[in-house]
This record gives sequence, C-alpha cells and structure tokens, in this order.
Amino acid sequence: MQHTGKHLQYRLASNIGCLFLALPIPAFALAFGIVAVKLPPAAELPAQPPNVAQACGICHSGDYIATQPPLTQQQWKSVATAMIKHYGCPISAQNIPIIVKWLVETNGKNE
Amino acid sequence: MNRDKDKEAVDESRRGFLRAGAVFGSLALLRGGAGNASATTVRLPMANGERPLARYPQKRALLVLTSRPVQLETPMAVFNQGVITPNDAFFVRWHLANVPTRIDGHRFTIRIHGRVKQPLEFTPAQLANDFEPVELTAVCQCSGNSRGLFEPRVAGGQWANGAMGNAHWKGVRLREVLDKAGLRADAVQVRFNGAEAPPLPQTPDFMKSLDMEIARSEDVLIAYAMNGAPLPLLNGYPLRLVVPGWYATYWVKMLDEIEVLSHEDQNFWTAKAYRIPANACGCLKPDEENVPLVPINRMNVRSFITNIADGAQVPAGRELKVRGIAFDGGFGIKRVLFSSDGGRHWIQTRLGKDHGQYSFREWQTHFQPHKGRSYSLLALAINTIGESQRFTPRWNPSGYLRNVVETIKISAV
Ligand code: HEC
Repeated sequence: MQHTGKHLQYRLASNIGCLFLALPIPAFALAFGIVAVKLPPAAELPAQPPNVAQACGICHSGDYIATQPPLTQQQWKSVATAMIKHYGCPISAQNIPIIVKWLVETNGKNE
Repeated sequence: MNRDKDKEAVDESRRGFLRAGAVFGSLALLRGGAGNASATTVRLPMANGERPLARYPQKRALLVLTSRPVQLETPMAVFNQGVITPNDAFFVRWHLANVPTRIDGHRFTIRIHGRVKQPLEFTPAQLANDFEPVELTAVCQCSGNSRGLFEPRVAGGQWANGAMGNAHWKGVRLREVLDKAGLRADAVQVRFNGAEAPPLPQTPDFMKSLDMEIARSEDVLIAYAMNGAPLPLLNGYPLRLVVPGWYATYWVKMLDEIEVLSHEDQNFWTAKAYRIPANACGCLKPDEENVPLVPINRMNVRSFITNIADGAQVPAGRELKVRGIAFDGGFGIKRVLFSSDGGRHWIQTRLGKDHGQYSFREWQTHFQPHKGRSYSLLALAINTIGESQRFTPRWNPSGYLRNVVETIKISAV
C-alpha cells in the first residue's frame, strides 16, 4: 500500500515536469520512492533460428539482429566472433558456421 | 488513453512536417507487423529502417530500436516542439540484459571507494540534502547517434538522428562528493558503474572512466532530477552522471558505484569499446587497418532543421519559415548559417534564447520558394571556438561522430 502511494507521488512529479518544461525546477522536495515498471515483451529471434542460436537470446532481443543493415557473410562472422570474444557468448567454434548461415539467410547481402 | 496518445504523436508528426518526409520517419506509417507491442511502424531512411512506434513505461510512443535491452529513439518532431526534450520523449539506451525494473529510491545507495581516504555511501536523498544543488541545461547525445546514416553501413545500434535530447539537470558536483571522501595522492581516474548488470559472469560489466581533470571539472554532476522531476527509470532513476559536452556513454545511469583508480582503467567498455581514430578527423577509410584509437570524448558541432521534412512539398510564393536546433561540445553556438541552394549562398539565421553553452540552441530564418522549383536546404552551425560541421560525412567503423551538414530536399508547389 505504502508503495502505491510513493509510486503515485512519483508519477505526479514526473507529470509536472513534463507540463512545465521551460520553468525552473519547482521548490517541492523530490520524492525518491519506489519505481517499478513492466516492459513490453521482447522481440524474438528473426526467421527460424537453429537451436544453437538460442544463445544469442541470452543477452538481447532478436531486433538486435533484424535492425542491422544487411551484412555480408564475412561481416556476420565477425559479429558472431565478437559476441564470443568480447561478451562471452556461449557458442562453440564449430557452431559458428551454422549461426552465420542463419544470419546471412535472415539479413545478409552479397560481397 | 494510451492509444489516443500514440495517435496524437503520429498526427503531431504528420502536421509538424508539412506533409511527409522519410528523414523524420513521419511518412510510411504502416500497421502492425513488427512483432512488437505496437500498432504502428515508422520507416527511417535506411535499409531495415522499420521501427515500431511503441509506449514503454513512463514514455510516450517512441521508435523502438531494440526491445531488450531497451533502446528507444526520439522522433524528430519532438525537437521542433521546444528546446527542452520532455522526460517521456527522451531517448533510451542500455547495454546489458539485466537492467533493474524496480528501484527503491529510499534504499538505493551510491558507494564511493577505491583510492580515497574515507569510503562513503549516500542515498539519493542524502546527496540532495547534504550538498549544494547545481542546475544546468545540457544535451545528452549517444556516441552512435546517426550511425544508421553511415555509408558504407556499419554494425551497431542503427539510430537515425534521434538518439539525443536536451534536459534541465539538477544534482550535485561530482568533485564535492570526491572531496568529501578525500582523494589519495595516487588517484588518476574515476570509474563509474551503474545498476545495469551482465547476464553471464564472463560478460564485462558496463563501466566508464574519466580522467581526474575531467571528473573534477565544475559542471560534472551526479544528477537526481531531470526537467524538474526524478529521472524516468529508463533514463537511469534515481541517479545519473551528467558530463556536459561529452557523449552520453559517460553519463552512466542508475549510478551506484564510483571507484577512484590509481591507474588507467582496463575495463572493456573504456579500454576497448567506444574508441575513435586518433586523428583530427576521427575518421578512416573503410579498408584502413591498425589505426591508433583513443576514447571518444567531447561532442562535435551539429545542427538540424526541425520543421521541414526531407521530400516535403511546400507552398510556393509565400515566406517559408525554417527553424531548427544546434549544439556542440560545450563551447556554445556562435552562428548558424542557412542555405536554400545546396550551399552556394548562405544567410545568417537568428538564434533563439541562450540556455547555456551545453544546451540546444534554437535558430530560425525564412525564405521564399518559387513555384515548380526544388530546393536543397542546409543548416551549418559554428561554435564559439570556430569549429563547424563537415560537408563530407566522415566514416569510421563504429559509426561515431557524425556531424555532416544534413540536406533537406523540398519542392515548391
Ligand atoms: C553474453 C552476451 C551476448 C550474447 C550471448 C550475444 N551478444 Fe550480441 N551483443 C552483446 C552486447 C553486450 C552487444 C553490444 C552492446 C552495446 O554496445 O549496446 C551486442 C551487440 C550485438 C549486435 C549489434 C551490433 C554490434 O556489434 O554491436 C548484434 C547484431 C548482435 N549482438 C548479434 C548477436 C548474435 C547473432 C549472437 C549469437 C551468436 C549474440 N549477439 C549473442 C552481448 C551478447
């Protein structure tokens, strides 16, 4: 119950902020209450991902792939390799070609 | 309610843009289809530029770049509605899978430790009460803003020009907080960490570092308010670093840890990511390799026409008002020039109210289009130290630093 109250207070403050944008910050005390949000669902991996591609979904939604410009096979390979090298994407080296094939079919272009 | 507001946003962008225009994504409003929680899709001027227009918590309908982590782009129409970007329209950009969706602002603490004499911890309320409040207006722009407009295209977040916003920030000076903890003699850098966390132990946590000289500068704030309200959760509630003039990558959100270092930070996000070619241009040729890199830092000069969309048809024989915004890395805008003939002739525009050297600066001018003719509209900003925008787009493999003079093509009917 208490939580709801704080949440409302927050919403009120943020509405005020949006309505009177050009004004200096009003002198009311800011309420650092509880803020809880519910996000809309995440976009799924595009096309028909092979099983091993499920690892790509650990860290981000499928729109990370779908919003990229069409990339060449070489470019997709370096994206996949970067995911493993920089971020620790759990895919074994022999599965990279399977992933790259799917990426090129989904959002690829010729050299 | 929500649906009405979405519709309003779309209508607004239609109205504001004199009929159509791919650059602002106000044309090509499609129904459904994006596999996301939205009814409408906007098409940005790039291959794979379809973006759902959807509402996220505490946000009006924005362009969804990615749904997890959440990355939302501000429609250009918003920048025509005022010099301050409203909190619910402000762009959103996270890096890692585990962004908290619930923050208890009473219990949240920020910890200052490392090479300090006295490690300290504060709640947001303590910061607000125990330190002098400082207010300033500053542009927050993603390093990769406009990456999607790079040619040849590069991988990364495919933003058009809306990964930026201008807000009135309120907070406390970082240096006062550092001084309270007391820097040790060997302190050289300050590292910032927020509550966003990696999903796997082998994924580097998102942290950014600043050299002491920058960290201690007058205007670097730990902000607890944005446009007179607590920050929206998706913009980093309850605390966010504000580094005016510098790219947003340093503006760490949900800031809960400040570590003073006695050495240069070796963390991935500072040492390997967000780096630019170490030449004056910050650019290279697409096949150039082994170029030395430095961390991205101060923003360059940019300007945008905000009231006319690319491809628009405008009424002939009447004065056409042209307006927009300009900003730079904190020296302040000195002049904005305007050309209606693709850059052959330029006129000086009238600058709007000065909100400080870190803020968007509005400008406006006008010209008379003639029936049946086409025009290439250009805006060119120059800052107080003589830096101006480029006429040829720079290229680098990470898609950073775009500040080319943008062209808006229109015809008069
Ligand atoms: C362990 C976490 C993790 C996994 C698993 C992962 N990624 Fe990523 N991915 C990241 C991070 C972190 C970024 C970039 C974050 C940022 O800067 O916003 C990223 C970015 C991307 C991008 C945007 C382009 C770029 O280079 O920034 C693409 C495309 C992408 N990933 C594809 C994939 C694919 C395909 C897979 C599966 C092979 C995958 N990712 C698996 C963490 C991961």
